[in-house]
Amino acid sequence: MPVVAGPAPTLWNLDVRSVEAALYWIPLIPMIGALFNALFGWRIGKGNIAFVACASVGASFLLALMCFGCVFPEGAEHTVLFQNVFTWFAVPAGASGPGIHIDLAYAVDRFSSILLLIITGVGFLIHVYSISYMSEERAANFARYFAYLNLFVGMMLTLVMGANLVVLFVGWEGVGLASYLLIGFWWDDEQKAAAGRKAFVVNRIGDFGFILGIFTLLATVGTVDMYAQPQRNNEGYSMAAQTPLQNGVNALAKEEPGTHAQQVVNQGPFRNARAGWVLTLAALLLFLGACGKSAQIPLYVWLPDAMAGPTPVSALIHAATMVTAGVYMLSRLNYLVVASPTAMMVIAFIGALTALFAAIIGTMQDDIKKVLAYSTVSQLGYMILGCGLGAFWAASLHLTTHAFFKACLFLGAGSVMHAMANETNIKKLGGLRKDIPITHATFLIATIAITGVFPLSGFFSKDDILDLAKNSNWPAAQTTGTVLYLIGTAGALCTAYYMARAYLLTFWGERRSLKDHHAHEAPLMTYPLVVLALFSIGAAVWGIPGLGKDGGTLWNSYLEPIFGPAHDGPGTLEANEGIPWGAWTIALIIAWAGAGFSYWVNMLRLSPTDLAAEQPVGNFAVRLIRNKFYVDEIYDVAFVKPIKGLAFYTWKFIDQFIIDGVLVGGWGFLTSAFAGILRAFQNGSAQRYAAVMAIALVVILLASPARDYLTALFGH
Amino acid sequence: MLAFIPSTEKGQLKVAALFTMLVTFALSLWMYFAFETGPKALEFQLMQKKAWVEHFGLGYSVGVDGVAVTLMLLTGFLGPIVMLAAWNNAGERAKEFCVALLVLQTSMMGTFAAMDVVLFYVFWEGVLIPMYLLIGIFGSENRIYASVKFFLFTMVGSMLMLVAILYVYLKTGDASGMGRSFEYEKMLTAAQHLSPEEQLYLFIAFASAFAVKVPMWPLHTWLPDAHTEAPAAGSIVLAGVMLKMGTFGFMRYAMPMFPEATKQAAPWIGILAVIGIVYGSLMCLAQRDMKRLVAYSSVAHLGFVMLGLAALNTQASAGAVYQMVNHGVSTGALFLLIGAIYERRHTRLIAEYGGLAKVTPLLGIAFLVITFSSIGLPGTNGFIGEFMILSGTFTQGRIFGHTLFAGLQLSWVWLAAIAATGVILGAAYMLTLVQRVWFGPMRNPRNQGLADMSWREGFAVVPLVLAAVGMGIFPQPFLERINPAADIFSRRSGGETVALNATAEAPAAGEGEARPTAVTPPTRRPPPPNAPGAGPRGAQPNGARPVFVPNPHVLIPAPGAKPAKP
Repeated sequence: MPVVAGPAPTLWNLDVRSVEAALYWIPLIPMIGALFNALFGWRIGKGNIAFVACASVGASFLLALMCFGCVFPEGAEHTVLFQNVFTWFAVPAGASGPGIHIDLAYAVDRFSSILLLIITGVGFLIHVYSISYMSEERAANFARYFAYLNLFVGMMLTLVMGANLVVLFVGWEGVGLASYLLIGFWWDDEQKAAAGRKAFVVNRIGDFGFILGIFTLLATVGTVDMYAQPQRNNEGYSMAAQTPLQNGVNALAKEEPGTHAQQVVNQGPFRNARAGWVLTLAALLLFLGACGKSAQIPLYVWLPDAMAGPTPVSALIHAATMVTAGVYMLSRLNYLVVASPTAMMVIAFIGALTALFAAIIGTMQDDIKKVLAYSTVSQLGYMILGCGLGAFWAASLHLTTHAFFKACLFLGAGSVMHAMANETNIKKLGGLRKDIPITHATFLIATIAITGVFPLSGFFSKDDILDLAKNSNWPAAQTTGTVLYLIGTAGALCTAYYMARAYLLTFWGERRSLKDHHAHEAPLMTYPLVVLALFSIGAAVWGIPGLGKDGGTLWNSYLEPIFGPAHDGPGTLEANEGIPWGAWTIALIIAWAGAGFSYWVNMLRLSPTDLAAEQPVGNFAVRLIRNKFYVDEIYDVAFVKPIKGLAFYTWKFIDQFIIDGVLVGGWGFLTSAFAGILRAFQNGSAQRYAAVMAIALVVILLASPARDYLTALFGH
Repeated sequence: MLAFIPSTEKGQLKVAALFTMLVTFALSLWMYFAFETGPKALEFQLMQKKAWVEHFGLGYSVGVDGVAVTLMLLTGFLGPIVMLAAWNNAGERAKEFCVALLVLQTSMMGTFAAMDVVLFYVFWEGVLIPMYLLIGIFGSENRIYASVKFFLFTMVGSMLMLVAILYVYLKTGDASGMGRSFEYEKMLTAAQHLSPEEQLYLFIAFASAFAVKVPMWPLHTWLPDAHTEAPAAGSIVLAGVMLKMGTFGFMRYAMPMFPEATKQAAPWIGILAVIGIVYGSLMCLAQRDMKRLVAYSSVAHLGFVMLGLAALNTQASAGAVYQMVNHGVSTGALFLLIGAIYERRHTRLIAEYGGLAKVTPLLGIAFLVITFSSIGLPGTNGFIGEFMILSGTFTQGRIFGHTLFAGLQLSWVWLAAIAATGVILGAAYMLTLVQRVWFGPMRNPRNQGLADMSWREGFAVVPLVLAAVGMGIFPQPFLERINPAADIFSRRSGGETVALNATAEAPAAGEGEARPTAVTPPTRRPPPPNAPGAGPRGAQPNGARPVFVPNPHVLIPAPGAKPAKP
């Protein structure tokens, strides 16, 4: 790490150390807001509730902006704001085993500062939007909603700022909790409550992998601190924090058998395992966590159900921020990912398959929120594909642009629902472009962005990932890269189709139901839409090749200090230079082809009466897709029912019959049987006692001669 | 003391009992802070010794290490809460109820504090009788079956332990039998020098007593019955403290005393613990009775504790101790809340409920918080314990000495990984319970108009909720006390001879009070154990600050046990 003499430059003359000292307030303020609304919200009135909630997120946004100011300027590439709040839990190492030392520590570098801005910025917009969207709720529910939403923001900030994997995991499960509470916000509806539970339990399966991944790293690298306290003094100091985990992983990845790193592994539980194998294991276990949170095959099933929550929640949690946590985590641990080409291949294929699979399902969904949900799963697949390829800059750019246009789409859907009495079926909507013009315009912009049409943001971010697939750097790269590219491109075709379909059916043609309903949009709901739409366009600047250093993108140059170290690993991928004209042409053709086909099918071929009619049965493929490939049903038969059955029969058979009945009851039976025999001798009947005594006397008298006789007969 | 209040004055009785519990809690809190951290924490502190039956080297000897002091704090903390929870349980027999609870409290404290093995045994058994009465008299329909089952299960193990104690006792002292003692450290030294075979048999004898109490799979079937039938107060004490007596027994006695046996048994204990985790969690999925569900979840949680102990390293065993406390807080709170709704509706069947959050939102919020503590959400206490146990088990370099099954090398890594599935199942069954009881539409008209949390319940629940969250954010003050004791435990159980200063400096039994190793206030002096009117602890009239006073109900005073003046 280069040592910078003197403090690193900052924007606006910020004092780095003061900002550093205030780090813990960033997640704390929204949590205080949550606590305040939870405790007092029911009596302070809706206006105050909304003010407290929005102000606390706004305050965090300002602090996040200050963090950004510290890491943004030229010369601050390696600045890491670091704060160790307190030692969370620690056990000293002893003769009997390794200890553990986990600090509650926060760190902000260039990468996480962007995420902080997205979370607090988009979060703030969605808070404002929610004031209007949730205005019809009772005050107590209104307070509960904003308390949950603030809790979510606080936890998400913890996740992003955590300087070690355990603090990251706190945020990781914390956002899961907030998500659970918000999906089941209307808990008196059984299905909604069940959707919340499903989300939590499925995420727990991922968390199981995450926590074992943490243990694997603890057992081999010995630390999970991504950043540690920088060594600083007053004269010349480096703002660069220490990176224990990265150093440890790099040492393991590079060293050959028989060296120090291998010896460290040999002392742990994975003796006789190669260091590279252990790193693969750790990366895949952590990736299982990412599969849960970022809704990848096989754990994506919770996200479509999560649409049971209020729509702003879907925008914030299930599109813009929480679900990208897996992508964030993999990018954060880029050095671990690139250390294992095997893990990269798995990650890339899961990502690509998810992108295609969810996009196919999305083409046949009629609920606008479900379309967007499957679209989110699919887009997350692209990000995960990017991580698997080692193109973390592209994945994180797509994460950012997706946060803008997907939040815009969801909020647009919410605006449609608000205007149309909570109708979500796009076949029953239609013709809304005149009634809600701002929603229409922003929805259109976001649709173009997600479809990947030049020159909006989605074009640059998604096509960068697809293009890089061909450059992948693992064994048999040529073949696998081409396969991944084809899968991803097919997904892009489906994306164009379903987005155009959702847009056209909602806003064009004639209104197919609620014909007399007066549709209008609320002003508080349109401002966030406009801001997000502008960002969906403007974010493209970061992804245009040639604007950054060495012909790269601005985004790539900016994050070079974070993702640069990944260039040490065996699976390293080089960024593209220059403009890939060929790939761009194909991508544009694909986008327009999908959209055009969608227009032909949904606008020209299907008449309004066809749409209003009951669902046609369709052939096998259509039924398969419409029923989401029956994945939920398959899981139910393959996992849920067997586990429940196992539980029930184990209880009835092993617990109640074998252990309690045969073993315990058996002892009891033996005891009472034995007691019964004894009881026969103690029945208080004097005659029987006398008889027994007499018999005993005879036996004793006879015994002595009998023994003599026997002795004589057999000797001793 | 309660013996003097007429049984008709129920209000007075209960207030007096509550007051006693509060004083006990205050004392346990004082002890907790008097217990020094730092290097001193490796030793037993706050020691008190008096001869009891000098001829046999039997003494009234108490003292605490970091584990005991933490568990006593838990016991003291739960005391007033139990009393509040039981306010309406007692009914006509309030006097018997309160006396039983206080005797129980004394015995549990004594079990953790005893430094003399016979004293420990006396307290250990002393717990049985009041609990038996609580279940048998104040329980629900099937109470007789449950209480007898409880009594028999625990009694059988204890008998074996008594024999083992006597065997070890005979090995203390020199060859001529002089200087025999039941003193813990002496017993420990003697036991550690026994041959591996002797150790194995003795270990089995000790372990059978403790394993029933924990309860370890497959000796757990008394627990669901006892919990289901016991009144709320009984369940809270049972889950909150009594089960920890078993794990504490393993930690203080069975494992460090017989390191050779422990070395052989540890993998098997680990396997049984993991079976307990998965099996207990599966059982929960099948239950229709709320209390039975929580009881089986206790089997799973205690499985985590036993796994942590069996791993024999500092991190995992410190996590195990922390998990003992967590389980006391979270399961205690669950039984309290279930007791609260049982009091309203007189049914424990999950199917009878649904949508309860509509009428009792405060109880619902408390239940939800405790649920997340129970399933180990980070930020609550459960996470710290489970994380440390699993991480300590997973990361330790030690492997099983021998192949357990033909061809299959089971290792601690696998045990930790299988145990971690309990975290998934835990979320599944607890959230299902929450959903079916509190969420959804209200179908059962009889649930309409139930009263929400009363002030009395609030005073009982809120401390538990705060403890669950507080211990999740600030575990370090607890760990500072637990870690050294966990270190000693894992070293001793690993076969290392660790001599503590306390033993070296302690005068022989019968010379009066031992020099306390901790700096304690000068006013502290031994309380008269059998002074007239000295009822349950905390009721000392002379302002002395007793650490432990034996209860006359339990302790039979022996001649020559006059308290020595300092």
